Amino acid sequence: MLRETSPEGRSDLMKRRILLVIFILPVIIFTGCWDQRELNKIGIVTAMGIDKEGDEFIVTVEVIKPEPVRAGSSVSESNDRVTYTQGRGKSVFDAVRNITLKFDRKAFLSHNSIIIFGEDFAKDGIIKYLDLINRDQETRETSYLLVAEKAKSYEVMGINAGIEEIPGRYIQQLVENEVYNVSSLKMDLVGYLRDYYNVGKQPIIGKISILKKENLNDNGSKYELSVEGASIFNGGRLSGYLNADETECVNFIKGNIGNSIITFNNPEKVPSDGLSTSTPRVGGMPKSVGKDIKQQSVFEIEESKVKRDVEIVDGKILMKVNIKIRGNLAEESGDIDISKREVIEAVEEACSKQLQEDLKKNFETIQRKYKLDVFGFGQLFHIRYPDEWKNVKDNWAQVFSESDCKIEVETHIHTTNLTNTPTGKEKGK
Amino acid sequence: MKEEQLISSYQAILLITVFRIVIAFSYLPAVNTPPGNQDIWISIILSIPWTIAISFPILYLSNKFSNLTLIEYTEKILGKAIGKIVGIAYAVFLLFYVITFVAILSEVLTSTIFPQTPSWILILILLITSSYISFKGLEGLGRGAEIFVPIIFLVILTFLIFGFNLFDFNELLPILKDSTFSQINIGARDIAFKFTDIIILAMFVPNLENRKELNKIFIRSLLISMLVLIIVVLCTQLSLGIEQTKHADFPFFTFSRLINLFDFIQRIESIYVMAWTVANVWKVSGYLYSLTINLKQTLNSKSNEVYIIPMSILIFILSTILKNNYSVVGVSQPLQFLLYFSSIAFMFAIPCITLIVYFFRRKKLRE
Repeated sequence: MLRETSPEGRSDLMKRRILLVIFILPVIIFTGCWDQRELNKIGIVTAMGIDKEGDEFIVTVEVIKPEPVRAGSSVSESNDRVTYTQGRGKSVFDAVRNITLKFDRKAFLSHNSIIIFGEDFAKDGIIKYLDLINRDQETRETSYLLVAEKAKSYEVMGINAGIEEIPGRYIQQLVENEVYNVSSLKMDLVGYLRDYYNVGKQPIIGKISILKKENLNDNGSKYELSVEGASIFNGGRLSGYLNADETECVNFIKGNIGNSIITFNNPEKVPSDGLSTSTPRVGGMPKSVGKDIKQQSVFEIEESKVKRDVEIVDGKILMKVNIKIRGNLAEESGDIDISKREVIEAVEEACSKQLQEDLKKNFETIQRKYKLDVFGFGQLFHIRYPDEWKNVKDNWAQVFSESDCKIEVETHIHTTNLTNTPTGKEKGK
Repeated sequence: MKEEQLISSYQAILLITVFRIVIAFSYLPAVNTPPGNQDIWISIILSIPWTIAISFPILYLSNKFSNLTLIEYTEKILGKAIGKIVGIAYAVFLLFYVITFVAILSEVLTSTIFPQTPSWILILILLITSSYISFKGLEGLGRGAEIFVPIIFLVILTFLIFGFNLFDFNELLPILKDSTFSQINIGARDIAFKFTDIIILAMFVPNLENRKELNKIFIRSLLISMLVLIIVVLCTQLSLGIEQTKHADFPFFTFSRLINLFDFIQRIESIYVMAWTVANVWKVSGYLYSLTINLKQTLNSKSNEVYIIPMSILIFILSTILKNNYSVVGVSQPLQFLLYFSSIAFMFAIPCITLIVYFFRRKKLRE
């Protein structure tokens, strides 16, 4: 349609334009009239700790101090980037609200990514008190959950032995380092609840403990934190801690393998080096040194695939795990000739065997000691045998602890990185 | 008098689809219907034949009287006196629905991004927009849908892709083992009764550019909206788990809060709220428009425009009262119960009676 160009049409157009401006102006002026949150009114929380003493809840929050970054500020000053405040109350929310009695800014929980529970609180059962975090629109469902081992949550908070200026971010980084080291466990609120509501799966969350810094000439903080291990829950209550190896086992079987490494003993019988030519000017290495070398290799995982299955064999439940890992030979402290295909194959086999044994041992420990299915085999059993599941559903923990497991590992080394001979070996010898 | 406003089939499909997906997009009642487990998506698929069966009376009559709206032919078939009463009843029904949608919108906005803004402000802004759109008529609605509805689809699709790494497909297994067919069937029926938009389509029939394509419009919008519903249900169930999805008031919103891609694409839930608000504005406008057309035809007025402002004021007052007294989504009973039975009555029972009467009076009507 052609636009009218008569004088009346033009004035009509003018009117419309004025109207448009009138309508658009309020959008700019009244943005968030009621829900405006000025930065100088809120206290941005970066970590939160919940404890219980008797009937009283204690909530500790770490709040960022909004100070301008000064050029040339010294290291010691950067430690005061945050401040801590605590509230006590009859409920978790009451405790959060009571912070306002002592602290000038209202806690703003949207940027909080760490929630730490004191050990006593976790033993008492956390599930009922997670409601606030799940219900409130300010808190995030993706916050990581951690239990402070043998400590109150506020004892853990404030320790910063890292580069991050904010202790809460330091803890967050530690948790996210799970990709490189599966001895720790990363679990957020939504994942915890998903596992909690699943009958065939027990929830498991991270653990944080305070360590004294030793062997280090560091004049910074005396303590450091460690997220090694995991806290295992029976429903909503803390029932114990897994050590590093057990946590690794849980992560491997659940398929959270990431870029972790495996240290294993070398195969005993490998073909000796007969093809390479030795270098005449090398050969100063006494034979005794060669014998002392610890025959160990380290395998770094790059890709992994985990298949799990449950089967009933002769009336007994068999849990099957098949792990395929692919990666590189990262360290070789033995004196084997890794440039040979047969040797690499033997090394692969040794790695598979070692991992398989470790996983089986730790799996059985978890099975017998805790009787808690943190792996989710109940869920798999439900999927494979929906009819039989109805019979075992109510005492799955018992059934799980009595079942057998079969773990298979396949390793594939696809590169030996930059060298083809271990440093403890000479070519041609 | 204004010349007759026409909308194309494409616009009609978009309009009906967006009306249908608004519910799924917000409080997702489907996850709480029986069987209430991982088999809900089967229920949703099964609800397609249910929807067709339920909508059959209206669809049949609208095809027969394609130059009349639902109100007009009901009056013609049932006679003047009863027809007027039914017309008023439909008006009350539509009013009730608009009030509910407005209250739900204000609840979504208050509980997601504007916790402290009074709900009457949100409702006022929404109603000003919607009544303006209603003044512009069906053509405005249809053309707007052409612009906005694809954006809404795009948002859902983007969220599906961004959230893909959150999915745990074991949540959906085992298929069909934990629920019986009758449970799934009941679920399918309940889901089918949740969508009342065939009534709105029946109000638009005389304004369709191509009235013969009515069945096509209906089936296409049904299929598209069910596909979107399945995507939404799967996204939420796979990422939150079956039980947590039921706990959430706005499951898709909760799902969108979880999205975190490379620590870079995160906290994008406001985009969802924006898309949802646009969809709901369209739904409210469409229902408000139908309501005024209904009143115009029942009360034999010349134009529907005289009813827009009074109705908006009425909706404003009632929905503010409703919202200020109850959490519409969180505390869903008895409101959901009322909605369910009113939709059975108005979508199926009354058109059924009309259809039966039509068969008896067929010859007389032809004269």
